[in-house]
Amino acid sequence: MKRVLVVDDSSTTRALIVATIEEMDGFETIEAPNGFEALKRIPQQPLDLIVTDINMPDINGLEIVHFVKHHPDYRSIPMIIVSTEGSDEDVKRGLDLGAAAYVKKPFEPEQLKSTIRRVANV
Amino acid sequence: MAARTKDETLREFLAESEELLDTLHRNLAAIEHAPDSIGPETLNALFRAAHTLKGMSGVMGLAAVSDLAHSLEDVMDRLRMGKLAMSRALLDLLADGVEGLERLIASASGGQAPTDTGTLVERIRRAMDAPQAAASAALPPGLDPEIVKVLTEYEHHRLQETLKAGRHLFEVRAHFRFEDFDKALSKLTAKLQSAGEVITTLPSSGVSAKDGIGFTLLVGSQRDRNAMAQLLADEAVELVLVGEQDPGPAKPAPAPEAESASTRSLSQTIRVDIAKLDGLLNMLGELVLSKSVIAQISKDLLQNGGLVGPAMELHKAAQALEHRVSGLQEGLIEVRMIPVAQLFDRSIRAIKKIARDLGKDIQVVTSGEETKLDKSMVEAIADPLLHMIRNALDHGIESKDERRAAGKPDVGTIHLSAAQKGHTVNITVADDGAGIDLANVYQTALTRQLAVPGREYSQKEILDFLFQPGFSTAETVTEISGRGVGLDVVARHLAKLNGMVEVTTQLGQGTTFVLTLPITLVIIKALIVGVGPHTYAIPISAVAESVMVEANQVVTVGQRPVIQLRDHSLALLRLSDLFGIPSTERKDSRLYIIVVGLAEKRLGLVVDTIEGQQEIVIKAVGSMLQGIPGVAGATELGNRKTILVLDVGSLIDEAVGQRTAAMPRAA
Repeated sequence: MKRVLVVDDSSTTRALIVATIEEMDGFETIEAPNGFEALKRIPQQPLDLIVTDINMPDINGLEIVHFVKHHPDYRSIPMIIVSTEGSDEDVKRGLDLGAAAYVKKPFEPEQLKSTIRRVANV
Repeated sequence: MAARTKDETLREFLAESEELLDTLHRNLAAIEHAPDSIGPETLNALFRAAHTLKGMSGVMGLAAVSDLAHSLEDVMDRLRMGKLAMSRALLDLLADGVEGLERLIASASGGQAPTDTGTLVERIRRAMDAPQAAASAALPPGLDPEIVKVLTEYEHHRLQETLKAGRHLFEVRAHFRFEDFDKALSKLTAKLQSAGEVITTLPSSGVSAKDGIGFTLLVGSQRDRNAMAQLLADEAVELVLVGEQDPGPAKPAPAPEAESASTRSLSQTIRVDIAKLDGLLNMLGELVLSKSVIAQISKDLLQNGGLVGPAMELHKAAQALEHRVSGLQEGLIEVRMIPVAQLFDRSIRAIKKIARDLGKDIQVVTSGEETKLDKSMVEAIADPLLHMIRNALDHGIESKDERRAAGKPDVGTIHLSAAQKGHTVNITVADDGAGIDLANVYQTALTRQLAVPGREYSQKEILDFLFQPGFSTAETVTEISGRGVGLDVVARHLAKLNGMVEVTTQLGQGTTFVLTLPITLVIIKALIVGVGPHTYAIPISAVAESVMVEANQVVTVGQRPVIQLRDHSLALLRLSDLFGIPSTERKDSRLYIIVVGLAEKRLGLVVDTIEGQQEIVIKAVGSMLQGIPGVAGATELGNRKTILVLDVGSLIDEAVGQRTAAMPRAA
């Protein structure tokens, strides 16, 4: 089982991302409704992938990417940014910080799935 | 975790949308209220809500919602980035946009036919023409490049604004224990926000102690280094003034003390389906019953001098149970409570819109917004409240010319207020308009054959006519007040909620409507009364007062017993007559009268005994009793006796109805 942490402050969007991931064989999910919760969840169990939104209050997605990619224990966890096309600049920064891929919202479930398979090496 | 069903996802979407729409409305209202001091957090909150709504409606496949939210997001993004200036027209346009979103989302929930918001999107898009480019300032040399890397475009803009405004830029480094870093960080953030703006919060990784987590907060503030250091004197943080050569003696950062107090509710709120709470509350109702049964047994045992030891033990246990159950009950009712501010916000928007349509200048004054009411009650009274507001705007507040002629300010005032009184909440709608012309009302009542010619009516009795079915006249019906819907509908609606409405008016000065409502519909406080061998419960929110009168004070008018209570004649209904029960004669020839009132109607219920007040859970009655006038449901008391709960609204309708209106004043 590959374990995926899904970070999004919209409960609707999070539910749809989770539903999409759980349609795939061999994946299970953990959810975090904001950056704080994400930071709490990350050390609690081994993770195979983190899927995060960018625009969130207090601790944004870029900061989570930065945290994970600079942390000796977590830097190998691949990350995918799922975000609306709001700011190309923000997406570029996320990729520069070490995110492996970017999926634009609204996403096609198949596109998210294939990106996840590719990034998670399935 | 199982994938959610489509229905569940739609419900989630609707609940989340409602919150986001509320955020949009609230922040637009804040700008409306203080257009000259729009804070960056207000504009950012607007942007974030529109952004989230766009994203989630996009993934839901609701293209129209997503498009409209997108256009609003773009405008709000420019506003928060300083590329577009706020104006009256733009604010109105944004308000229209949010209303459009509301309509679209309502139609997505299946409530309404889909509406076309294409032109609205066009109008919003046009508002963005010719954005000004924002000039950027050079970043100060001392700024940690790692921080700059994680700034979003918006945070970058806020950093620029801070520098342009000449504010100081601080890096605040903190280290927290992992278990409760969110609380500690929230507390620190709140403290910093009291002194300025937290531009970003970067969690730092790798270097710090194994069991904790470090953060660097970038803060813009007017305060200088000393003032800032003083503010943070109690915090185990490192403070750096960006660009300063010598950062001063850095404080060591020991593991912080455990903090029990949390300052923000942001990540501590939960959203619960109200139906689930209803289920819990029903279960609690059963528990309340068990509690009463145990209390009753313990009381019986004590009184009968049974096994004294065990009886005392049981009594103590019953008291402890009572204490815990009421704690649980209060807690559960508390989570259903929302401040009436939400209702007021909606009302204010409606008032602004109606006032625009009517071409009247209106200011709204509110008070007591923090008063809390059951969420389902708030929903239930939204329409009656709106109706009264429409009345006040349409019939109450005069035209500008009329106001000037009367020596009043051009701008009319509507005062919305709320206050809790024990187990009830009063909601007041007051206007400073023309007041109600009693002579006019009387004439109309005569024309409508509601009043009897030649009879004398008190002021209160004349105002009663306003709530009579069929009072609304063609002349008073306009588009605003709605054809054929009169205050009688409001009164009926409130009666269903065990509420009352009272009106007072002064010609030329204004009119005040006061709604009295129970704070919740699920568990209510009731007056327990006895009639012959039977016991009944009367919802306390419908009880105006109880009085004891001499039997010889009752006079018969027409075929109906009546007493004179202060300046008012009060029709009486003997419950023993209504339910065909032989009444126990009171030796002292005095009567207990429970004055009940719903809306403007009053009725005196004659009972034999008053047994006290008790909290009851209303249950639906079986088919045998359904349709019996005057019965709202049944409840169980602690003595395992099932008793009927009286439906005061239908009692009044049944007993007096049209006849009270035509009742002469007992002189």
